[in-house]
Amino acid sequence: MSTLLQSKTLGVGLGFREPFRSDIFLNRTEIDFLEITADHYFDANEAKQKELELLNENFELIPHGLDLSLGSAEGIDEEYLEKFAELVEFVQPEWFSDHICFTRAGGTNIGHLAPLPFTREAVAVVAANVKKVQRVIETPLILENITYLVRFPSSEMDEAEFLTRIVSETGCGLLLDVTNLYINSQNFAFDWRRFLDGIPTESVVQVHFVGSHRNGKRLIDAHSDKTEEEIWEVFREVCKRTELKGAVLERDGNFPPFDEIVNELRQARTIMQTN
Amino acid sequence: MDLLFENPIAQMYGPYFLAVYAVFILGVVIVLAIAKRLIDRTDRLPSPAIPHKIDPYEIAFLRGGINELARSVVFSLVQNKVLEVSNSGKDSFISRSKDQVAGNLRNIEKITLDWFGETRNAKDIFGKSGLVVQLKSFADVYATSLEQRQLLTSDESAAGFSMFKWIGILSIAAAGGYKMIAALMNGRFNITFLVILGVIGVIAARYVSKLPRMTKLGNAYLERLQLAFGELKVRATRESAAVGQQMPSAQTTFAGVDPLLLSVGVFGGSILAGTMYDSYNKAFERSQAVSASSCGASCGSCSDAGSCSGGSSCSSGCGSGCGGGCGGCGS
Repeated sequence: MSTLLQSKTLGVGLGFREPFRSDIFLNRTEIDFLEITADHYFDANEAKQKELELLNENFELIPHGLDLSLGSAEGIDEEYLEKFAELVEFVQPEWFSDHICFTRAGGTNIGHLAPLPFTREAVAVVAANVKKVQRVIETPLILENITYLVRFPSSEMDEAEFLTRIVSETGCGLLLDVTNLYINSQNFAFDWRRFLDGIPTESVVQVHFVGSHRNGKRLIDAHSDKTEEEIWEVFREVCKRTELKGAVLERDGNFPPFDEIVNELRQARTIMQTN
Repeated sequence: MDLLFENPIAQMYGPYFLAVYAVFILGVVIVLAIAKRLIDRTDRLPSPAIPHKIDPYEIAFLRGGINELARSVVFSLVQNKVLEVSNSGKDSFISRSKDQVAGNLRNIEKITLDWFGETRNAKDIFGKSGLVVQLKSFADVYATSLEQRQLLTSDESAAGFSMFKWIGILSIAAAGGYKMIAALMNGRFNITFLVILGVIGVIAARYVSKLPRMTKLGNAYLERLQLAFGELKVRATRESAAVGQQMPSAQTTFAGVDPLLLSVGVFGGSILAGTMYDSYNKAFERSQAVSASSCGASCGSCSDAGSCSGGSSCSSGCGSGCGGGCGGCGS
């Protein structure tokens, strides 16, 4: 955490998606930094490599991984880690991030961010994997909470305590996805404020935000909707409790006119500056 | 005098001399090509950041000189419905719109609009008393700025390289000329191959020593711009839909730039083919031949010092460099 505390505050950024490419350059003053999906630039062809160079020359970048699979008992895929390290070396970011989940089991990629049981054993697995990552990549790693549709009966603690233990064991900061937190709180009927009471908020380095999406009786993280007031409320509360270094709007689909994106970034900036 | 024409070179068997001469020409051409590469070291510089405030006219000027600058300003006025294009037979005419409301125009746009006080043939834009002459002062400002940022080959670089170029060309001409005089003095007149080789050598030397208008950094920057705004081009042209639809007014983003005008600046007017601005595109397609013939190959290179960045005068023609001597085989 000590290294993270020295990291500079980046402000309000946007998760880079190709359809945004022209708009981000037309609206540069509105975007403090970009979060790139790290996996898109592994084994990059010439076009993606040029895109990466273009973005890196013009914006502060934060690589965000999908597949470190920090919760896999079988450990980290070394080839994947090596590619991630090369990307981080090229980009020289303030930090990089991935999820508290597993995406591989028994050598098979399951193509999904799968939740972990909230157990001491899972904490130990994540801690061991994070240590391996930290041995290869010196840049601070921060860890993101995910959404889940089931809670394991074998869980020994709640999610807040689980995250707290992981932070304590690894020294990593948190990438708190306020949308994921809100979705989980709605789907599993818990109070997100109590969740915030239970985590070390001083460890929250960055947040993700976007609207939730209703699918039947459940909310899901489709990343396709405008951020709703309830999520802005979570965002506002997190800003009150932490010294955030960055907030990223994470929109993956149903892209609106870019003016709407800019308006959300402005709203986030206002909240960060006034709380 | 004896030594001048009685030495191994002067008396060398013709075909042998041709071989030596060819190697010499090749050497000069290679040296010039290397020198041209070395004079532009801008590939070592980091590519400039894309500015927060983008000027489509500056990008158009970078890409294609004063002709492209003129085209993009005219497009801006067409887009703002201040000018209108009509195609008639083989000619395209541009005139002020009857119900024009000029609005907030930049100086460069005002001067352009003034030039269209009467209906003009599109090809006249690039003529000797054309719009490009009126825009020269704006082009000079852009040229200075782009040269300072090392995106365009500066006049200083071109002047510096010009000395190398002429040393190379004159050395080829002098070697051939010397051998030709030696052959003629020895009463040998079968100098055809020597003349041909000499002319080819001079042309080759001139060709390889043409400095490109844009530096390597300039090319990299333009490539970056085209990558950054590739999506914009697709979207802007799609939103401009088909011919015959109501033309929308120019838009501005938060950055105060109209996406379609920026696309024209970055990619050129040909992106407008099939859109509601098709008549504009056709007008300049027709005038392309005229502007190209009056300005070399679209102003892609500068062959002489002092004519690089202006864009409109980049082809200075062969001129004096072709007349070098050609020696005889002297067998």
